[in-house]
Amino acid sequence: MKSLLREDLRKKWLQDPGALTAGRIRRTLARESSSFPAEAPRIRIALIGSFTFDTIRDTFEVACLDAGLVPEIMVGSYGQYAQELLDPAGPLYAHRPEITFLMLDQWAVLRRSLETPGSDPDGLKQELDEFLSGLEAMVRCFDAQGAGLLVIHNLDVPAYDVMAGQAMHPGSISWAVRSFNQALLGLAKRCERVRVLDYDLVASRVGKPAANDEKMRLLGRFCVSHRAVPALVHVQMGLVKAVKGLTRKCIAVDLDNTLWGGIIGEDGLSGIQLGPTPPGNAYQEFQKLLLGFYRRGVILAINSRNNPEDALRVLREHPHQVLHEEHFGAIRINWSDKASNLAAIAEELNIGLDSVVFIDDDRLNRELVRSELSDVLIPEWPEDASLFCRTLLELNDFEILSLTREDRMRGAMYAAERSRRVESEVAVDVDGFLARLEIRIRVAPADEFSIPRVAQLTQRTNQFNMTTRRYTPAEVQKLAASSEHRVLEVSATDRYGDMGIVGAAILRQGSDVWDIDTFLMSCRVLGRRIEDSFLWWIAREATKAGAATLRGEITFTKKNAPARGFYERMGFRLLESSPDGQVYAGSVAELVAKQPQGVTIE
Amino acid sequence: MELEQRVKAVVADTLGLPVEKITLETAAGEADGWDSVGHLNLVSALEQVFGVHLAIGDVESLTSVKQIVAHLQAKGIPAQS
Repeated sequence: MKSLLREDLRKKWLQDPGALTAGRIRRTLARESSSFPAEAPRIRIALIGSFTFDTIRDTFEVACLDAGLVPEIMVGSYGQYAQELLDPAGPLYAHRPEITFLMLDQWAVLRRSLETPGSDPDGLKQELDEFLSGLEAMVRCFDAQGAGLLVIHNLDVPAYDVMAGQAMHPGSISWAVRSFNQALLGLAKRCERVRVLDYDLVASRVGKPAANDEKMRLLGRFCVSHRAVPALVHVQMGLVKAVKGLTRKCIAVDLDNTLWGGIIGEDGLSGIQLGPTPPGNAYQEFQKLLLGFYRRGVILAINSRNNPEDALRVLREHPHQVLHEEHFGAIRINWSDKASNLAAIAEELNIGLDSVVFIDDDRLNRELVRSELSDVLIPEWPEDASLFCRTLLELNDFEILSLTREDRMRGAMYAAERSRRVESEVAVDVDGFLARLEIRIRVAPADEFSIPRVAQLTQRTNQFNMTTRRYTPAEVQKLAASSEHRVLEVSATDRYGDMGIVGAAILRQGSDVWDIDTFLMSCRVLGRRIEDSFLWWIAREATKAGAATLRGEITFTKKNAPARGFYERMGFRLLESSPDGQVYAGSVAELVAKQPQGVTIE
Repeated sequence: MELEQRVKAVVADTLGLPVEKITLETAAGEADGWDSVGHLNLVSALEQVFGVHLAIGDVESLTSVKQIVAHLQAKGIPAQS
């Protein structure tokens, strides 16, 4: 769902999603008499409770707008929640709310007992029972009116208690709050349309001292501090999304540096980090969390740029791999762009792109896919793997109102479907994608600064590597110094930054034929046609030197499948072919005539 | 910027009033939006912007721009920064 906030207001909101910003935005919208498109979905909400919640109302309203919903909020009168719930002819039921949030605080629930804390355990229990039976009557009335969900906030267990270490025992305020919260769960169990919102948990997330601003409570009965409001609204919005069918159904994940540390195509099965020792244990925990989502009905999918054989080997053979093929409802492991893959995944699973969350460790990938597919939720992702679990858990897009047997089986059902299906790809505009990247490359002879990097590339690059000849820095140095050879490096930048040296070539310059001894590109920049422009540059240099032909070899290895079609794609003729490799020849004149589009050469 | 200017900016921004209309005499109860809830939002904003803690005993007396400026100065916020 697209945000209904104007770009400038949205920016302010994302920077500081708090009550003061919300107040400003609401005033701006009121001043400008903003109206929202007729087709934008509405949601009818009621906010009632025992304390002052203007800050919650403001923040909630803006949060709804940002989620693409136009909220129609009935705000309860101060301290009038009981009357509102008990009056069938009153404003609450007239509003027909889809969700009613009943926000309670301990000074309302335990008013008498708080006058003299630490004294009478029986009095405490009695006051609690009285309140609960009153609440039960209100809930019965609510149920009879048939008006949506009633979400009751529980109370936050005090961080400090006059009873100190005995606070868990009957007779303390803390004990009374815990009892109340427990009783509330019982009430929710008995009544279909009642849910409990765990405010105690919300306060814990912010930190109880930060959630309890005594000054604001004493001055104005603000029982939820300014600091805690965004955390509370975040949870409330999770329920709103659940009620409006906006929860997400699928988590699609990248593989390298997301499910394991390292790159399987480069590091190999024993080189990736996945296992009981750090940092591999962080990745393992993340996999276990994803399994937990799978177990409660979220569909998992893979969207990875890799050799399928390499990646699937991890899923099938790695001793510490937690997630296996049977956990995934859709799998795209290929060299296509990730946006196309997601579109295909959504189609295969028969879900909307707005049901998908995509997790990728690479910032560039995230931004590119975001610009292509605005409906997919792509959370900002931390570099530190130990924070992966927390980041996923913080999303409010997976709230469940109830857990059914079908939910628990959903993951397995989708995985079974997948194994019956044939892969189909949905083409997305790849040319446009490349043009938007604004890639610029620079080709230069390798010098003392870049020779080590070039050598490293020859040693580490396995996938887009024509001949896989490994060279030490000294050997590269020798070739660079030789008048017969040229050692070239290509570096690239794009809209998002400098990628450094991304490829290299080693050429042997004959008078008529230039031999391409080495031609390779870092796997990180594949699919952007940089290699096309690099080869064109070489052809142009060959023209200047008077050579007519480029000769390129391909030596087949287990890993360089992505490279094998390259020379053919560039218009070279096949000269020789054997089980071990091929030799191609390309006309320099023909190559130079067709400069590849999409990449600027400096 | 002068302290007085900064305080006026916070009052204007928090209560949703045009900053040109704010004077030293602008006060709670009279200015639009400076009701009890507005007052507490203002206290929160002043604490955030000036990095001070306003005690409960002081809050009730901060009912005009003039008083807010005087109070912040007494807390050591310089008149010119």
